[in-house]
Amino acid sequence: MKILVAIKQVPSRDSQLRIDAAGKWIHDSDLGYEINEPDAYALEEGLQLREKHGGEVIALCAGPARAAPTIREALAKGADRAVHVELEHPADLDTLGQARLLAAAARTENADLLLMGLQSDDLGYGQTGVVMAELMGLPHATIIMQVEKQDGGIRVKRELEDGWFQFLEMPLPAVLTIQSGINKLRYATLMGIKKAKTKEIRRVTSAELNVSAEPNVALEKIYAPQRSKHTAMLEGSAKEQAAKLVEKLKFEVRVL
Amino acid sequence: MSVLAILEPSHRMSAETLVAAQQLGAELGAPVSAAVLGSGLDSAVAALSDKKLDRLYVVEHEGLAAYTADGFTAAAADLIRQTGPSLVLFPHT
Repeated sequence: MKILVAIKQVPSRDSQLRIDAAGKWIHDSDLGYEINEPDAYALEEGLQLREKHGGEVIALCAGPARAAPTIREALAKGADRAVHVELEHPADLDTLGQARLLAAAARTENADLLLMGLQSDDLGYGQTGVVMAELMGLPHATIIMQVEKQDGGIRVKRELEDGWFQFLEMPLPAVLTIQSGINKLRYATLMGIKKAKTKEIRRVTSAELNVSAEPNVALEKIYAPQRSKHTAMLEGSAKEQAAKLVEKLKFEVRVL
Repeated sequence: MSVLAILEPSHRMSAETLVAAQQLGAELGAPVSAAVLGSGLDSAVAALSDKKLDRLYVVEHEGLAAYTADGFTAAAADLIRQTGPSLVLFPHT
């Protein structure tokens, strides 16, 4: 099975986030970067499927030069090779632009299975995989908790709301977006890290993929959560005050 | 200008989506329609019959009996192409 895993490099969780002067993104210089967590689980799932059924795992990453360590880490963990779509300002692209770019790069590989995390830790749209699948005309399923290969395709378990699950049978090729926690992540071994240095990283640009990056959706503004405290006095008799309090807890605070 | 709310029957979030669509419709001065997709939608249609809507679209097909993302995507995309709303709202579920 030829498995393509799309991975994204995102600001690491312990980064100090400061909004930049334009108010449209965060100060890049303050940030450390790491692989998007759900993508790490998608990679692990790809590696485990390859170990069971044979084949090849290719890591696909769209990002600037700083994404190189994230790609090398995927290779050190066991991906056979990588495709790096070079993109200087990933934050300028909307979901459709990202998906167009990834789909164009994925088309050149003709994989049987395309995996990626269900959403990114930075923008969290949760749409890239689905839009990519639609652009490629492939069946897709989201929030995947389990993947089993069977005759003529795969069987997957999806996580629904309120503790419900759904099982689906799908033909291949297909696109799956993977939920964090589906498996146990591995560490790169010393041998893996050494081997990664000799593995192929194919670099392509959006111009070579013939994808225009004109966004349809523009990020207008980002801001930190605004906290404001505000005291309200409830008037009336004890009974009336209690009734007002219940109403506020029910409809404003929504805890009842 | 028109607003279309694509609803998931019997889901609480759908009621909120419908209200959001009606508020946007009022602000924009645009007619608001809703749509339900699936199979055996009689009770869903009945539940929406008293809502203030320009139109209610009912997309019924046995292939939509169980939810699959690609089946519903294809049906919703066709409906949106045919009806040409300026704004489409979905519940995030």
